Amino acid sequence: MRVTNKMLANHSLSNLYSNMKRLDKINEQLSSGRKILRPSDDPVGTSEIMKLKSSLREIQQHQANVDRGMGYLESVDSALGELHDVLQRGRELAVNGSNGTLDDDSKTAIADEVSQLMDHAMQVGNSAFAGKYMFGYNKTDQPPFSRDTDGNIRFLGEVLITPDGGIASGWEDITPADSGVEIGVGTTLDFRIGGDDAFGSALSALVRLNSQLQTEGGDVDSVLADFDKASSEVLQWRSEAGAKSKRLEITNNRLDDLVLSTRTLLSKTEDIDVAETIMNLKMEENAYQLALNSGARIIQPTLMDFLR
Amino acid sequence: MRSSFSGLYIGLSGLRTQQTGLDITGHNIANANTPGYSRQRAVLSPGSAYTVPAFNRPMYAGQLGTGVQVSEVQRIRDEFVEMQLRTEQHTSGRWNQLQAGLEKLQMIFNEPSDSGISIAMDEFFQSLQTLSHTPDDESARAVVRQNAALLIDSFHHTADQMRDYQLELNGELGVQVSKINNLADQIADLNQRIVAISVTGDKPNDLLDQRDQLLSELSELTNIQVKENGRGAVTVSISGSTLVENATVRHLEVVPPEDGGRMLEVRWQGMDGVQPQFNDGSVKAVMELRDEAIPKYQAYLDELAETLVVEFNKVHEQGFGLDDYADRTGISFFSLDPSDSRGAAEKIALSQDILDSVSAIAAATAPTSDADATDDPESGRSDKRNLMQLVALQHRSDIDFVTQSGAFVDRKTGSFAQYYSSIIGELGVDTERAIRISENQGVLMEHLQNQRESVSGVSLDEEIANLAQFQHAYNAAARVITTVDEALDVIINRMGVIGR
Repeated sequence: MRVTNKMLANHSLSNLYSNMKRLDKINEQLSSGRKILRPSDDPVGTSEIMKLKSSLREIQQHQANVDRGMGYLESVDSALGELHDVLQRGRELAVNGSNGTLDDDSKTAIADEVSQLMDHAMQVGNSAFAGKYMFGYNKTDQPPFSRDTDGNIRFLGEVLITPDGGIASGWEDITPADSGVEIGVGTTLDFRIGGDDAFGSALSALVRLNSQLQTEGGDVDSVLADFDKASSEVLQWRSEAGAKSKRLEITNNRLDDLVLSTRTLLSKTEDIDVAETIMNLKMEENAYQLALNSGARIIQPTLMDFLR
Repeated sequence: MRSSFSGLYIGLSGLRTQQTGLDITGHNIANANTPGYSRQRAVLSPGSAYTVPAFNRPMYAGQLGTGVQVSEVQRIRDEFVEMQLRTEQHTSGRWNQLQAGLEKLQMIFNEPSDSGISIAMDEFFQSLQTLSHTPDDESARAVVRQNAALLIDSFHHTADQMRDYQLELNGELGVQVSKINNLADQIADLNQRIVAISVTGDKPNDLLDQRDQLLSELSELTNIQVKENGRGAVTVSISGSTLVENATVRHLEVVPPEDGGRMLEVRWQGMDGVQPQFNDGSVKAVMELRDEAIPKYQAYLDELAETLVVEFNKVHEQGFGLDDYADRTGISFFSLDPSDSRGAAEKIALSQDILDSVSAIAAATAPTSDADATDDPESGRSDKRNLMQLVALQHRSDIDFVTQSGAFVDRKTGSFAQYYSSIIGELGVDTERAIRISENQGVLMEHLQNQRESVSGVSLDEEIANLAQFQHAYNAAARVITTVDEALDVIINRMGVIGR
């Protein structure tokens, strides 16, 4: 085959081009830290990256949901703790009030304190998290507990407790639908605890104590059992909140693991192996140098250099 | 009897011929880097010998040579390689253009990145999740609307850029067609000049080179067949229809289609709307991109936008909003104007209700106003049951996507994110294929060009060797003349001087 000067030049050039192209690619990868910059670099990897990134963002949203849920449940727990303290004080007062030797003044004084406790319990029931009332299900914009002019305690507008401390005859138990926040794909958790469930017995015990103290010859003793029952119910709801909290904690740990493993996978798909890429860069650099060298040698001389 | 001076003429023919050789060598060297130049060679032949048979021919041994002459200036080339080059040039032109076009589409979609539709869609659904903590919170609702607007912007941006690129290609088609016309004109002109020179028996080598170069440029644009007639003119045709014949050209024209669309059509001029059939070359690629690739990805994107609107609205319309929207259902979130003929990705918008007020976001499944309070214990401003249905849409992986664009039909089932990533995956595969073919074609072209160069290229070593050879022969021919001159000197000036 006849080889001409132009062929040599062309060969050298096209080799230099392809070397440069590979160098450019490696440089792009090194400077961005990613091995897939456009879909054509690796179509399957690109789809994979997009899915992984999407699920990473989703997991992070679930983490945010869990964090917020934990905060909410902490508030619920402290409210229920406070209610428990109120109940304890109420029981002490009931024990004091059951003392048959008490005069009327003392009884009135005790009844006053009980009345204060009642108000406080309602206040706790009307406590809010981030400006939204916690114990009124989805009616977060209005305080769930209120007292009407007849002395009834109303929950969400309905009479819950009559002035004698009994549950109103017309009261229907609320069974809320499960309406939670996502803490995983397709998994929701309802953080709410209903005020009627958690506060009903406690308020009823306090109202009853108050009314028995104010009644001539009232049976204060029998209220003690109500307090015990209310305390155990509040504890039960507290542990319910605690269980949800625990579940969130476990979920959080799982989500942390998930974030880590997704990131690892993403990094494996997307990120360059720096050591390998730098080695490739060195090799390409070498090849480029060699191509330049041999080009410089080959292109220059012609027969002219050797004729006088 | 031959002339005493014939030796001088033999020397002279040597001088002249070697000088021509030097000239041709010089011409070769001068054109060593001219694109499309084929090296030339002087074909030397001995002059007609003396004596010719005749009654009174001289009575001595013959024949004697009369020197040398240049019988032809030959262009060295391999027709077969030239033809292969032209054929491969079509394919090369097509795939280079396709590669550039698909890479541009990749840039338009801009994935994987932190600013594409993919992330906008994720962020929109995320904001719905955030809203699920406080469904009646004005600012959380505003964030949902904001993120929806961002998602819509991403759709619009991508769709607009695709549309712009399609129009750019439309313009490019016009440019390429006028290039074809221009090249055809030049070829016809050269045909004329080549025929005029060829009839005199000369070889218009440089004009032939020029014409070959033009043919090569033309074959990058489209598939052409080239046939040479006996008189040196070429007939160029595109898929069997003649473009250039001798000195006449049938021009192509670019006209708006009869149905009033924006996509231009290429037709033969004065042929009553007959369209040329481009099978290869960059014109074909421009048409493929404009009429197949872009519409396909537009259809994909439209399908995504439309399905999102339909599925999202279907759930959203079942819910109740707040305040002014507390007692009614049927509120759309997105809107697609049916009177707008553009694709869904271009016309997707927020509904007027949502634009008016964020209270229109229907998170509740029961009326939320106090006046209409139902026995439903979940009723209230923080009712988020419908919202959770909307959130769940993100994970629903049984959504059917049916894309249709011309004869192209595609069915996929999956979630929004899966569908979108499969579009990007497909674009990646298409582009990767174009890059690979284009690269392979590049290697093939390089090989053929080298083969051509090997036959027709100017080798400086060879030319310099020729130069030396011709120079020596020239010197020697001059020496012949000197020698004959000296011999004649003996006869003329020094003979017959006895007794002088």
